[in-house]
Amino acid sequence: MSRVVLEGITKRYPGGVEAVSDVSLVVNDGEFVTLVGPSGCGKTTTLRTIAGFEQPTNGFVGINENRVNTVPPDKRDIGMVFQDFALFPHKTVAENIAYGLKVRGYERDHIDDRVDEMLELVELPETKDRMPDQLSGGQQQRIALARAVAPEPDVLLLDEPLASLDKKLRETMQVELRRIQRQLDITTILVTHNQKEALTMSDRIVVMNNGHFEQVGPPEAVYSNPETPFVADFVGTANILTGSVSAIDDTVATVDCGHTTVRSEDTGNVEVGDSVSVVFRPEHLSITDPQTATDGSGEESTRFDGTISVRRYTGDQIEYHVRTETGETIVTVQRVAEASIEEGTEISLRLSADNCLLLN
Amino acid sequence: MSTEKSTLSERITENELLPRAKYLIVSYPAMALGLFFVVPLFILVVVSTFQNIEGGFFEPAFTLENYVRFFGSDLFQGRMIYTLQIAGVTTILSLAIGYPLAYYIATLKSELWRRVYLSVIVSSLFLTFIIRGFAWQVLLSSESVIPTIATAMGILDEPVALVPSYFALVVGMVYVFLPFMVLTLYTSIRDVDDSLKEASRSLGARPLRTFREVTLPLTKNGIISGSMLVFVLSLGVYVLPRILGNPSEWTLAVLIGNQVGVEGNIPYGATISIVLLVVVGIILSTGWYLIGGQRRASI
Repeated sequence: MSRVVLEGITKRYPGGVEAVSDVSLVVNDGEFVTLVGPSGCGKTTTLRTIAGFEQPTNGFVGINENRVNTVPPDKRDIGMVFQDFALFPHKTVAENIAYGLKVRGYERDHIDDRVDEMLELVELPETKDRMPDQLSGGQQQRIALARAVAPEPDVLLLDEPLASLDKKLRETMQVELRRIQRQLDITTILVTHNQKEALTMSDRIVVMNNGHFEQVGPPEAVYSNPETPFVADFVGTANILTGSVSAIDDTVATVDCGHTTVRSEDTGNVEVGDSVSVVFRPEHLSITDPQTATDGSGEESTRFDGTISVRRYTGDQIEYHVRTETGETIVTVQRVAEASIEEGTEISLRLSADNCLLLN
Repeated sequence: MSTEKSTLSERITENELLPRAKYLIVSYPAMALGLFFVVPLFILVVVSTFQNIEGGFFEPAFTLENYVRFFGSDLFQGRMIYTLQIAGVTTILSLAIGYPLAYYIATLKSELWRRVYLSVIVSSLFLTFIIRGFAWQVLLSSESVIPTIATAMGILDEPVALVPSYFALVVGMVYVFLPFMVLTLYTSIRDVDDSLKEASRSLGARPLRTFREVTLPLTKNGIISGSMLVFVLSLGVYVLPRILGNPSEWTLAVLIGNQVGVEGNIPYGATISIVLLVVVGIILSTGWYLIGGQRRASI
């Protein structure tokens, strides 16, 4: 059982800057959890607290049920991959991978076997005797991973390990990393600012902002049911309008957003008079011709009329920024297979009430 | 018309002026090197083969007499070894004192404090080492602070003058050359990425092991450069042995000065200088080979 427990972790730096404020999390055995958020949100500090490079000001850090708050990193049995890989430049690939095993005092034969095994795992056996600066970025990344997992640590900590790779390589490594993590069944915590990476790789993601956890949950849940406007905006693309609830009848709430009235079935947490953020995803809007569209009087949907101000072709889909008559910009997408619409065209967007979230 | 004019001036610039300027610029380093280093060295070599005439004169000749005399004399051979030895002691002590100091400063988190410490160290270079040598002469004299404290602590039986002595000379030399060692090591230690040390810690290595396996090997070039610098500077030391040492502590440089200034034997002084230069050359190339060897291995 390799669990990581954070309870009420606060990290305040001398000078009063609070990088992390009262966060709690349990990472279960074999689980892949990703801390995601914009730069400066405290995700790296949280990871470094687990690693032991930072001591929390308050709170409990536990690895395997042991309190490790003041235990130095070298006694925590962790493996860590750094953003710049941090391979020892004066040691060969094999010596790099062997380092953690040598330090732990394993016998030479065992170390040699394990090094070969790790090189097989990351599919780079031919690089054994090379120096790190003879490797490509992707290879360095794999060797850094091999080095981190060679001593079979309790926890694998990944600090933006893919940030310095180009897009193509990054996507390959996302798959690789996940494969290796599954194969070793190792408890893993990843830090990234890339929400797509977080969504594709993790069992659970933790969205961080300003030192707080905004939301913790499986990727699907966080994407489809963001709990705060920040999460909605940060994870994926979201349209966010603000307004106040003017009426709730049975299952549908009516929200008055200035000039637009939006209908939503998400009535669980709101009451009449509340100020709310109205959140909906671009892919939930359907594009219709304003001439043939119904006037939106159907209770369970909302109609927006506007003009396409920006058209962005992204390969698999086309993104439209629609300037509404009331001055808001709404983003919608269309699959490439459908007929493309020119910039300047007046269109009508329809949003079904069950795809519209209301967040306090 | 105006276009014609501009093309004309362009043609002059590009075809006439630029090539000449190019040669001037390209030849400058070679000229400077030749004028300031090669020519004087050549003169020194030539003079070392001249015949000395009693009374401070010499006449052109081609004789290896001076070299024969130098390599044959016990005194000068002894001085050579003594000079190498005191330079070695100074280097080792500077390294032993300088490395922890440089490491401490280089790993300070506050940039302000790093600058303050470095400024303090550099500021000691503002004074010429003649003055610093005299300062140590005063500090180590019998009525002074250091012998008094040493007596109070029971290290000395009574306050005696510690100067002139071998001890005083070493203290003075280490004091004077330490900043060069610290500055060289500082740069080298700063270059070691924090994440490498953290990687080592995360892999289970304690701080001392991390230092031995990561920091020390990665600062090897700094250690070699700093040591070479201090060693070569120490080999040429002239004023300090005269201020802080007995005549038995005089180095080769002092004897070169005496040959030229007191004995008036300029060819012989030139000869000893050449030998000293060759020794320095051997040390420098060994150092460069060691650094280069490591660099080659990492390519």
